[in-house]
Amino acid sequence: MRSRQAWSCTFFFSIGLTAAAVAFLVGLFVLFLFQSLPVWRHEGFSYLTGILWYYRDGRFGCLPMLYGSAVVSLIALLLATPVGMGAGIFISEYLPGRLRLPVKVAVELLAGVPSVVYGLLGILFLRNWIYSALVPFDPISGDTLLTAGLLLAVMVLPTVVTLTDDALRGVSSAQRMAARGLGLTKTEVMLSISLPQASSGIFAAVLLGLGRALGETIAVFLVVGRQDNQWPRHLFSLQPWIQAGQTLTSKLGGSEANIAYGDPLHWAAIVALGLVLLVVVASITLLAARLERGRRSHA
Amino acid sequence: MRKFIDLAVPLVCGFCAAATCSVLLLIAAAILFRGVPAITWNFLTEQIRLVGAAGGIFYNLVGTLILITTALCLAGPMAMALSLFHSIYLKAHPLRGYVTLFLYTLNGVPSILFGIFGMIVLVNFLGFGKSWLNGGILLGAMILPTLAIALIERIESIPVKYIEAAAGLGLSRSQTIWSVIIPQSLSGLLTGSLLGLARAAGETAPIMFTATIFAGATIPHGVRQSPVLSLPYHIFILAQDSFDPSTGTKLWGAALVLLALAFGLSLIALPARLRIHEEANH
Amino acid sequence: MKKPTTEPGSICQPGSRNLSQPALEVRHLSVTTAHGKILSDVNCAVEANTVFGIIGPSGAGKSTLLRAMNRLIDLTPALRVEGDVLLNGLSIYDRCVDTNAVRARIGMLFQQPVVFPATVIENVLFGARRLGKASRKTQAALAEKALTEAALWSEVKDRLRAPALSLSVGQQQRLCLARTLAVEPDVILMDEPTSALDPRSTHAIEELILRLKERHTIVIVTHNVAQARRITDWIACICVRENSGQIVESACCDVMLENPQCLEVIEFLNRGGA
Repeated sequence: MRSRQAWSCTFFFSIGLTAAAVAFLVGLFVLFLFQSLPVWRHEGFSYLTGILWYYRDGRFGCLPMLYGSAVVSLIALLLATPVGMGAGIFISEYLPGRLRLPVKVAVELLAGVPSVVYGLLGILFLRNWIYSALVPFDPISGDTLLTAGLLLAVMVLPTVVTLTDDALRGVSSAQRMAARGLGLTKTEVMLSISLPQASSGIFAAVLLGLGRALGETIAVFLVVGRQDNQWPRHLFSLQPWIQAGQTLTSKLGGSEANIAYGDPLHWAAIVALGLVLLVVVASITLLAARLERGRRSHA
Repeated sequence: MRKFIDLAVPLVCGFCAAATCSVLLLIAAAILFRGVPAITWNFLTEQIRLVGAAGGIFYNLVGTLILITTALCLAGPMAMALSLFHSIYLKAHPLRGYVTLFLYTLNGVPSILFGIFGMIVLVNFLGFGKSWLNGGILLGAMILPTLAIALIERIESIPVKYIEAAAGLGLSRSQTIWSVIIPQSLSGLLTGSLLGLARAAGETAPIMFTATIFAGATIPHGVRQSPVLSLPYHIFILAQDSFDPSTGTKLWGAALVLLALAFGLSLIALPARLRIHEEANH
Repeated sequence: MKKPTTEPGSICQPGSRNLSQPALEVRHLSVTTAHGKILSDVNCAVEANTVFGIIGPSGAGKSTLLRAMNRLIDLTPALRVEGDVLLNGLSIYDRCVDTNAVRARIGMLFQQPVVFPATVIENVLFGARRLGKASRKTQAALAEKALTEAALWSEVKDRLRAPALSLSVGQQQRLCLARTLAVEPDVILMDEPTSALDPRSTHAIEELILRLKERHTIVIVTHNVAQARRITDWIACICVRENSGQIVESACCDVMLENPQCLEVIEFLNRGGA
């Protein structure tokens, strides 16, 4: 960049568009911050801790939606993490080389299924299965947090599988070879060498899966029930899991976003949901990237 | 005990892998089984009638193609610029890590937030109303990281000797970029683009407030107040009141077309992309 | 002493000199890839409690031969191995043989020291623990014995819980040796074990090898002719002939280095090694 010829059109093209892209992301964050200011002034911290959302009365508490997002993501991760790790381990450690590519393509395809298709399958199959399975608990419908969580589990599964595979493949082959040279079996090497060294990468994989689960809108929207103000009597009670609920994203994607636009306070409350979501997901992504980078610099 | 673990661990892991693959097969089979009866020539060439209960999805398909082409036209040059800046101009510069971090963050932004952002800035502030261009811009921003990361991996896998050879001929950095790096990285741009298109084609959240309506639009003229129909939004709306059996087959047909579009684009790109990825990482 | 000839396979059997069984015997071993043969018809025998050197130009297949000797070669896909390797008269390529048990009895030391990211003591006991050779009670004694054998005990006895990566490269290589010794192998294969080390560490490892042969059998690949002269008892030279590696000459150390017969070996020695 110091030499004169480097100050060329190509350089300006490159730095200009990069700056534009960065500005877009920064602009997005700033916009969400400023557009949500009225509700922070109105509700203050109780926006985050309030459990009631009645926009006609001007009451905005987003805790039930945080709870809903947390529960569906938790269910998704509880299911997707063990299965995804197992599949990732199998693909990187046990699968014969010529089967690797087809299986990886299959996993990537699973990641490429549009979320509206997942939602459709959720509405037409999963919802009914859940309803039948829950009959002993006298459910109102098959639209529950559990349904959304199960659907999300399938959606984040490919993320966990792919990144677990990447993390394991990143473990140096010299280490594996040395351990095999001592007479350890493939599985022992995997458990004692590869898995511990890949653990931060796998943790990053789970975090990115969490980010995806929290941000997923359409599929969740279609099966979660979108029931406002669902706040459990006991935080750890499982009862709300099999009831309809609302997540940050299902609220944002709902018709309330259209209704709210005319009213600055109501709109600010909606945008603030987006801000909360953005901050949580961005923190998770950055944490995952940090872990990932740590792993790479060690390797 | 050793023998048991040796046997059990691969078995359990293999079961997980089989479960993952069979989920894909089940999804594909379900959509195929239900959707194929709906697919006729008329379904693909007629426009929507009777709230989706009759007619076809011609303009939905056209609308989706317009949206993803616009997205690609915007994201392509941007991704090229980003990857050149990252891999060439910032080579061994401390800022380089932040560009990667930026890409990861942008990739992580939930797609609904792009929709809300577009609603504030494009629809209302810039006064575009619902417009195909909004959808293109938002989808472009969404797929930018996919394209840029694919390009970066491709550029980093260009053998150093090519770059050195070009520099040895006395080419300036820009000339090296245009004569060596861009031609060599076109395959990365191609595979990244196909994957980006596949992803953009299926997205609903960014476009539902900003670019697409359910019925009553054809080919857009101009920018302002010119929405398009789209496949994912069509499915999204019909899925919400899917109890009407006459829309049922049409709905599955639309889902099959969308899935085929997404899978088709991915399948062209994935083998090459995965190979580059494996070489770049290991 | 038999007169060395250039005939591959005919002379390279030190075991034929006496009636005792060789510790490790390679019979008609060929290794093939999709692109051609790496090794063809390799025959040699390693007598117990000797140091067997393998020299030759780089790329001739020395490391491949070494990896075939404890079936570590199985881990490289797309390689086909024909022929056989016998450990104390028993085939290690037999179908019912447990390859992991083979590798535990035929240890391996690599070119670069490969320590695991754990403490010194964990590294020493890494294999032994998992192979069930170190119970909770005996493992301290075993670690001390292995480290002493590897001439590392005095240097690390106060920092057994320190991370192994904090040791110097020379120490790390001896730690790898101790780790192999803790598994109590019959044969130790070494793949240019000193090429990454400074002269002092090299000297330490060479002394160790001479001491270790009292109880172990050692096969060492080296590109360093002077090193071969210092430590080996018997040498096989592998060169590329007709696009595949073959043992072109094999003889006891002095004969080989003073009076080589085969043209390729003379050339190789004149260049002073690899």
